[in-house]
Amino acid sequence: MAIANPLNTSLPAGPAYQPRSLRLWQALLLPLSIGTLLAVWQGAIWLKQYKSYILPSPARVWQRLWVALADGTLAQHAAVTLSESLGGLALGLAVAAVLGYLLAHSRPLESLLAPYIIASQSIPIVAVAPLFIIWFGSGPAAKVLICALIVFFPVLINVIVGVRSVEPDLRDLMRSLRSNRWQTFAHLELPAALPTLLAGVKIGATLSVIGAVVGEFVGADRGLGFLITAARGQFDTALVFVAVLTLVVIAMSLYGLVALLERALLAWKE
Amino acid sequence: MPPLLSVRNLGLTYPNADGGLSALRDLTFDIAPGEFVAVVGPSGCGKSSLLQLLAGLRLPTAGSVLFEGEPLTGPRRRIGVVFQKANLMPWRTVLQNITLPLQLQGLPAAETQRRAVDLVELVSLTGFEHTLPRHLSGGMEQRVAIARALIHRPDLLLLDEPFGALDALTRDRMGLELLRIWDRYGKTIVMVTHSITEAVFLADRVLVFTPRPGQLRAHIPIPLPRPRALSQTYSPQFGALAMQVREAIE
Ligand SMILES: Nc1ncnc2c1ncn2[C@@H]1O[C@H](COP(=O)(O)OP(=O)(O)OP(=O)(O)O)[C@@H](O)[C@H]1O
Ligand SMILES: [Mg+2]
Repeated sequence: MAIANPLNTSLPAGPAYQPRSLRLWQALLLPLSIGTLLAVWQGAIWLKQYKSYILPSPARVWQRLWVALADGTLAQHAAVTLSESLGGLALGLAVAAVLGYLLAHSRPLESLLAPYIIASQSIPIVAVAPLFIIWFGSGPAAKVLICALIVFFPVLINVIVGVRSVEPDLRDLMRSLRSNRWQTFAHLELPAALPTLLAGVKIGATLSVIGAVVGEFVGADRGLGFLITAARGQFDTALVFVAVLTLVVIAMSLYGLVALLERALLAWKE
Repeated sequence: MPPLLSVRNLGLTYPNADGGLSALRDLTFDIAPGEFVAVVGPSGCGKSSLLQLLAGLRLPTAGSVLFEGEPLTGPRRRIGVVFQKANLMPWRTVLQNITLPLQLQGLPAAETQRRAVDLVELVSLTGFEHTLPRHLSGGMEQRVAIARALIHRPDLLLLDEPFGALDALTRDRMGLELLRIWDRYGKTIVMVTHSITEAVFLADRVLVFTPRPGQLRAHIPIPLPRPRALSQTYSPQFGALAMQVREAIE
């Protein structure tokens, strides 16, 4: 399933109906593509004789990974980036969910805030990251805020769309049953908006990792972004590769976690 | 017996660009407790709007609706509504959809469960308690909607073309089931339908509306004996009544 539909876009891509040979192919696709990538990478080094600080070989990156794992640097920096991403994701999600809910219910509030929200999106995050470091210091707080800012928009939009898409007839039903505001939220709006909300969280989860790294590039003494900057300074390009791959793993894990949550909560949609 | 529902000079105008769209005008009629009233009229004459007014989901722009003599100013738990679409929550199972009204009222789980089991049987859905709506047929969905509207035992049941989306055979069967339920519960029913046969077959009285703005064109009492059976629809008396309704519409 994970390979048949890696983006988990919940298309009815039922592998159950696919012939066995096709499924086998799909299962082989990922290892094959990774193998090809590694072969091209290694081939380029053999052909062009790149210096290892320009392009380290896969074997060298692999060795560097073990060293970084053994001396604990990788785990230490990865933990910092992961916690910043998670913190930012949680904060951005919370603020976007509450504000999105309010905006979905109030056109005046929406027309008041929409220009600011959209304007905030037109500023590249790298441009405002230095300001956050100036204001909130080079500790984790600034990074959490940068992550939250980057997570905020996609989640906000999805919450608004989700809440607005609740069927008017179901709202009438709840009204006819004299449901109060809280009940309407808990029994109608939340479950109805959940698919859209989770789709937003999935996007937000990967963006959050980018936010953390951007913050660390601008000013930090720890984290994978910092590790990349430091390794580059020492021409330890293999370590840059290791850090980048770790970022990919973190982003994919967060995405996968939300996808799992989605599958558990939206079983009724399957 | 005093009427359960009194409609007095009821009017409804929807706001629009050119000074408002008049959907209903100057309606006056009563509905007695225990009565089964069918509402028929051309498409767009305001039948759904009328039902929304009777449900308290919308407020009139003229006149009033009295429920047991008191003006209706909002939805009431004693009024149940079955919408044109089944309107089920796709994330809830059949049983969970049926129990929604009681859950909102905070009734004890044991009592809720007891009533739900009874109703599942009444609408012949035994075995489907834990099925999700997307696995149900249209007719089954409507039966869930009817069970849901009955579970909090409203005194007035409002139905907006509840069988509109069903094929003729299922429709007949659902009509019979509705009569059986009405018989057992002895509640008042107002049902909108666009089928003249259905109206005559089910109701004690048929209200015929004019084209928009909907006004009352005729009250046609249906003195057919009860309990009703489908065979009655072939009797000359039935044919004459159906003809009378049709002529009133045209
Ligand atoms: N929410 C609304 N806002 C504005 N106009 C409306 C609204 N609902 C209905 N109308 C208008 O009021 C008139 C009556 O609509 P209504 O839905 O009550 O008719 P109906 O008799 O139920 O029709 P049908 O048999 O096709 O279901 C129509 O002209 C419709 O366009
Ligand atoms: Mg209608």
